[in-house]
Amino acid sequence: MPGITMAQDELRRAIQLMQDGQVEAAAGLLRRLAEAPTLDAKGRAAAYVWLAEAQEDRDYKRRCLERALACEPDNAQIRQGLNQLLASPAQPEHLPLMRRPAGSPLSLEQAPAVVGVEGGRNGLASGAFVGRGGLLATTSYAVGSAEEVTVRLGGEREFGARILRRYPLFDLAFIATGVELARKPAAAPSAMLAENAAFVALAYGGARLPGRLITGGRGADGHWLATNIAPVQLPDAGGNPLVDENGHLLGILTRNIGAGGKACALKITHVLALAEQLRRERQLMPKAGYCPACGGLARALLFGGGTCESCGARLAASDGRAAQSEALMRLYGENAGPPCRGCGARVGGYAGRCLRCGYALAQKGAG
Amino acid sequence: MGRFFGRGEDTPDEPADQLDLSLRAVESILAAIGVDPAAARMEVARGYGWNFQRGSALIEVYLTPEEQGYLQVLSPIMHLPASNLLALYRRLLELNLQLTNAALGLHEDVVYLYHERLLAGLDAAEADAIIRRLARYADELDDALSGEFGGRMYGRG
Repeated sequence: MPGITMAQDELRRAIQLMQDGQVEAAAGLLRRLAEAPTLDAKGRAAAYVWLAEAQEDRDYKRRCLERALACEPDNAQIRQGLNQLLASPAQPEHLPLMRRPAGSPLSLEQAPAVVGVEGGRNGLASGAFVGRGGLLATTSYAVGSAEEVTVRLGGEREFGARILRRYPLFDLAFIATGVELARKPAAAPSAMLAENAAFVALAYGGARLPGRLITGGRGADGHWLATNIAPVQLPDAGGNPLVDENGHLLGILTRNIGAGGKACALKITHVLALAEQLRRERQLMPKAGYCPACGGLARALLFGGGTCESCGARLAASDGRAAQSEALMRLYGENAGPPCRGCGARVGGYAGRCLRCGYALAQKGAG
Repeated sequence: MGRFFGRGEDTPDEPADQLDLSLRAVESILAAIGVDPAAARMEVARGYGWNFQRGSALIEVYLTPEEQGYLQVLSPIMHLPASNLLALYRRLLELNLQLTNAALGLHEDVVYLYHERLLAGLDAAEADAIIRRLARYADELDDALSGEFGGRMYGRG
C-alpha cells in the first residue's frame, strides 16, 4: 500500500515540523492528514493528537482529542489526555499581548539538552529549556527559596537568572533566563507516552541515566511519570530532562518518590501547561508576585501587603508589614467574621477557638 | 501539654516529701543566683511558682508537682496583635528553629519564651545560664516582634 506508506511519511514529517517549532506548517499538514483516507486509524489518531498540541484554543484541543479517541477508542493515553483537558479550568480567550523583553542577552541557535543550575539551596542541579523565551525548568528542591541562581550552559558559558516561581507540590521551579532560542524545545505529547517506554535522564556534566517508565504510584494521577530510577542514582539535585530515543522531552525528573521508592518525573505536558498558566498570570496580574517560601501567587502585593496570604512568609521587596486596606484584610481572612467574645479580634478560628486568644467561639445555631 | 501546670493545667499531686525536696532545691538555686525566693514567690494553681525581673525581662519559674520534678522557666514577651496573625505565627515558628534550649509558645493571647528540664542534676550555674539565656532572648524578641507586628509588649500599656 504505497498510499499508506506515503501518508505515514508525511505524518512523521509533520511531527518533525512541530518539534522544530514550525507549528503553522505542521498544523496545515496534520489537518490534511487527519482527513486522509490513506492513513490508518492509529495514524489518524496520532495526527489529531499532534494537531491538538498545535493549537492554544481549548475547545479545538478537545475536539481534536475526541476525534483521536474515536479513531482509537482503546487508547488509554488519549483518554487520559482528554480527561485532563476537561478537568483543567477554562482560560480567558483573549489576553493582551505580552511585551517581549528588549535586548535579550543571549540567543541560541542550538539549545543544550541539559543545563546546570547552581546557587540554589541544595547544590548543583540540572535543568532544561521548556520555551523559546528561555524559560528553564528545574526542581523546587534544588533552588529552595533562592531568588537568583547561576545557569551553566557548558564550557565557560554561564549567566545569572531569576527564579520566577516554585511549585513545591510538583517539585518544579521555573527560571527566567532571557535566552532566545531559535527553536521550541521538542516535547512529546503526553498522549503519545507509552508504559515501559525507554528514556535517558540527562544530567549536567555529562551523566546519562538510562531508564524506563513504569506503572503505578504517582504515575496514576496524570501529571507524573513513574520511573525505575532510584533516587540514590541521581547525580545532582534533580531537574534532569528525560528524553526519548529521538531526543524529545518526556518530562523533568524530580526528587519526588513514587511507589517502590523510585524517582518520579513530571510530564513535560504538565510542565508546559504550568508554564502557560504562569505566562497568563503574569499578563493578567503583572504587579502580583510569587511567594519565595510556598511558591503561591502572592496577590497581597497588589494591595500593598508584605506577607504571603497563603503561608505568612515575608515577600521579597517588602518590609513585611501589612497594609490595612479592607481588600487586604479580606485576602488575609481578617475582618470577615463576627468578633471573638473573648478578645474582640475578627481573625477567624481554628477548631472552634479564636485564632488570637483561644477563646471558644460561639457554635452555629447556639443561642 | 499536661505539665504546664503553672498556667492552670490539671496534674496529679505527688508525695509531699519529694515535692518539698524539690522546693528546697529550687529555692537554694534562686538564692544562689541573687533572687530572694520568698519575695519572688507567687500563688499558682498547683505546685510552686516564682517571678522576678532580669534586665527588662519578666521571668517566671515553676516547679511541677510530679515524682520527677521539672523546672519550668518562662518569660512572657508580648500580647498578640489583632491582625496579621498568620505572618506572626509563621515568624514565631521560624524563630523557634533558631533558638537554643528555648522555645516560643502561646498561652491565651500571650507569646512566651519557654524552657523546661528535669530538676535532678540542676545546679545554680546551669539555672543561671538558663535564666540569662531566656532573658536575653526576651530582650531581643519583644522589641523586634512588637515593632514588626504591632502587638503590645507584655506588662506595658
